[in-house]
Amino acid sequence: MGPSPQRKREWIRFLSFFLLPVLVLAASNLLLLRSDALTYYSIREAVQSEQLDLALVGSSIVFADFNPQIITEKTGLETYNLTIGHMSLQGALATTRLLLQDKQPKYIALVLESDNFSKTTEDIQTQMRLSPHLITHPLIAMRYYLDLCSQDHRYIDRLLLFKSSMVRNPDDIRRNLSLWFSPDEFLFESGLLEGVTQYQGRGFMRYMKDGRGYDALRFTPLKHDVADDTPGLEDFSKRKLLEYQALCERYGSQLLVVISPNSTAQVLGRTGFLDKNIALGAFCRENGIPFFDMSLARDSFIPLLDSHYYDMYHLDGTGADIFSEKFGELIRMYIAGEPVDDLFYSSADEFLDSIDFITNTWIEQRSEGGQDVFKADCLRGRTVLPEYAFYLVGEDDSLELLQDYSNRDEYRCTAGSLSGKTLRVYARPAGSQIMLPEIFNDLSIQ
Amino acid sequence: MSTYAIIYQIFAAAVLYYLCPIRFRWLVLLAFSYAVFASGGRQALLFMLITTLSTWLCALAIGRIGDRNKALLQQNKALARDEKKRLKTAARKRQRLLFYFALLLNFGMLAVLKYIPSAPSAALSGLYGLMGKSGAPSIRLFVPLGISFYTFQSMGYLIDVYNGKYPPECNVLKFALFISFFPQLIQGPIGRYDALAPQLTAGNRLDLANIRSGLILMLWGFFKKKVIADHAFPLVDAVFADHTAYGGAVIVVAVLMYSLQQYADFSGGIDLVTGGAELMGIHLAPNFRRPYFSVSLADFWRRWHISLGAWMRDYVFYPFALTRPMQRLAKSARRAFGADVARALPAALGNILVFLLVGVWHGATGNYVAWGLYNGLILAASALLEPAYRRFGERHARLVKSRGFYVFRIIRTFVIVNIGWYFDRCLHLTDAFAMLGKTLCSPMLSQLMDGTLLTLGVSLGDYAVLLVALIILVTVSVMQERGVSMRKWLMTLSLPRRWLLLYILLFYTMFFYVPDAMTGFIYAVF
Repeated sequence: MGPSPQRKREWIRFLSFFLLPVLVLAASNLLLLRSDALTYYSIREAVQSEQLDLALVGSSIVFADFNPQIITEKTGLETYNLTIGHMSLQGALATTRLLLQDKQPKYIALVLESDNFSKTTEDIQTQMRLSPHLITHPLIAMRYYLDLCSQDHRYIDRLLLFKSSMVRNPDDIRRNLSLWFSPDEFLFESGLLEGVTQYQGRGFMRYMKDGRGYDALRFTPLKHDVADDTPGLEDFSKRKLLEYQALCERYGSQLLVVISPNSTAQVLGRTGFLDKNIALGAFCRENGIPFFDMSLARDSFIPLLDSHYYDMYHLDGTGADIFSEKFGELIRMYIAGEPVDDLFYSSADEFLDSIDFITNTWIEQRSEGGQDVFKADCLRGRTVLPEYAFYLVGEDDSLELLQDYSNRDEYRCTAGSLSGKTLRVYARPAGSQIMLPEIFNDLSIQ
Repeated sequence: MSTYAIIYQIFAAAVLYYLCPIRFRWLVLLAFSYAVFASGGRQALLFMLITTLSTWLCALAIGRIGDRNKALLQQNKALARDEKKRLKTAARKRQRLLFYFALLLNFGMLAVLKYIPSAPSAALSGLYGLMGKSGAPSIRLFVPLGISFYTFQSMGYLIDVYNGKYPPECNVLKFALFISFFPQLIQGPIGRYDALAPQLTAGNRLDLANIRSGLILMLWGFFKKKVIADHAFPLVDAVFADHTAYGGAVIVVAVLMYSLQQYADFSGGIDLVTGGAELMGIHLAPNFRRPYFSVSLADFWRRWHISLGAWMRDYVFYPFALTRPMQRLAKSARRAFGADVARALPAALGNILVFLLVGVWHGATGNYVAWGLYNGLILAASALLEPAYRRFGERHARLVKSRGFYVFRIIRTFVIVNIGWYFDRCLHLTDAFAMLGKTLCSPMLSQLMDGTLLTLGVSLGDYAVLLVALIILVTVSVMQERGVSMRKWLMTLSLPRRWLLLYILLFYTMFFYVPDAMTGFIYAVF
């Protein structure tokens, strides 16, 4: 005997209470999220393209470093970037599932960096950026949601997405609406063309060179800052990679895994950085996934310098062009069956031994027996012996030599004698004759 | 454990509960509770099993000794009185041994895990030192989640069985469920076996009224925790982390915010848990009764963490006050100071002991001990001064019964409680005194107007959200204090009005709760 009609009515009434909250939630996640123009364009262009042969999927590294026009010219493959800032493997899966509904490219290059394949949680901002595109694909959205929540358990926060990135004013809501109904107006208003960056189509954002990145790399004491210290790959990451491979195979696309290029300073400064890439490479080879670690590309093949970086992680326009040309060449060679192993250092050791310069330097201060001790350190190649010189920087930027170049990495003085002043250290490889090298750093003494 | 984790667990448990046939539903609860526990690691499970099995076995043995002795005396009615007394004493002695063994084992385990988790390291260091070696490995004991609460709950059961309140539970699995029932593990309430166990093992039917009522309570709890408590948290944390930059006025604001945060956090968590249990037809004992409407400190502690207060009252306060030394002391006091003091003295000392224990239970640090003593001494003084209060009341009946005096008592109690929060929230006793000193001597009132309050992690918008939330909280609390059961009252409203009120609460919570990180509960650390 089932429930009585009265009880059924009570249950229906009870359940219908939740209709309005569900509608409000859906509307809020559609209208009240701060839209991301770049994600929109990146996905729209790829999905609506007439022909798509090579899809480059990844985070902001992809939209900065990979110039699809150049890669298309080099390879003959119509190339598009599918990028979402801070994307991890979960976002890559969801984005690719979305793409494969409409397009089945011959090649999908999954571009990874240590940050997005070695951690299993994904930034909630990424979900926010991707969500509007998944509204019409509820199964993909649900799978993505569960994937994310399985790692960070933020079921409620990830459902009430608008909370994490809510519109700031009514104008933002209007922009959301225009994103769907008049997207070119949206692009113009979104500030993408602000002079520092320029959207050039196919999901490529050119960063204008202004030296900012090089300063960030030079002046930030990266000193063995470790993103995370989990050795090897997480089981979750391995599962997601295999799932990604299966997804590509199901739609007839060849998966390539690419490690993005990184500045030498980042590689030297983050202990275990290369080890993770190597672990990923080993895993890919075990599972028959072509793998290219661009951070181990030979300098003779890709002549990228730290000065080609816009910030700590992204190449500027010039750097992206240099890199994309060579990356295109690599892909062309790979597809043609030509050997490509020689284009890369054979091991991390070979790479580290090849570094014959200093990337950045810094000073640390301590007190010792009535003295102030200023100790210099630097990131450098393994064969490099650094020399340091210490100067006082005057208010008029004049330099007063305190201690000339030598292998002594400490400058000592009476405690407090330099208070309120600015101490500068220059670092150069032993044997160099440059008096004021590019690599220096200042310390404001309290 | 985060707010979200508890909610997920409760919903998952409720679904599994009702999917299962009725007679196996309690087993589902047991399995789920142990699964939750096991997710904290094998060590957590081990300690839970030790408590469960030791308590169950000892209680069973105590019960059997008592039953056997009773049967023996029944069969041998012709025995001499002395002989009967000897048998009873012997039986009681055996029971007492088991009783103290279980108490010592479980409270001892709690004490070691809570207060000296580094004991193994210290012991190893000592051993290495004796052998002239260095570099002893560091071993830190793992502190299982909820160990305080399930230890209190199991010991309460043991004491009741020892006192013959009810026979011991013979089914170890049913007993295990009573100890491990997962919603209670974070911060209580501490259940009583005779009230809770039958509900847990009953196998309750799916009842829309329970579902509706439970969900409303969960929403209310989530609102208090994630809208009120989590909004107040940044300011409290900023000021108590480093009070040196702030004057007394900002410190008072921080203490008041802490008052609000702690209440909303704790009662919100309890509401989540209570509402969640109600989804499965299990009604936990209430643990809060609008404590900031209290008219005295004693009243406050009867309204705040009711289950802990009741536990302390029944298992520490009364047994202590009724001990022979206390009775002897009362006799001496009657001779020296009169009947009033004699009556009040055991209660006064009992209160000091109870609150010292409660303070130490929070943490064996100076600030918690001071907090405990502060409350204990005020309660002791109140007990001793009770005859004077009574006389005052008799002489000024009209004043004492007036609304104004009632409000005065509430405000007075609120101030007394908040002074105690200085000690409770500060990490160090010296900080508490420093902050109190600044409150009295260095208010720096200008900091209330110069924007300082906007630099403490709480924006103008956050204050507005808090203010509206506080208005909602106070409105509901006043109605409840006037005897209105909110959920029953809601059901008396027409459907549109009921839905409107619930939607207001739901959408306010949805739009203004503090997302992110797995913010846990304050009391979970105890």
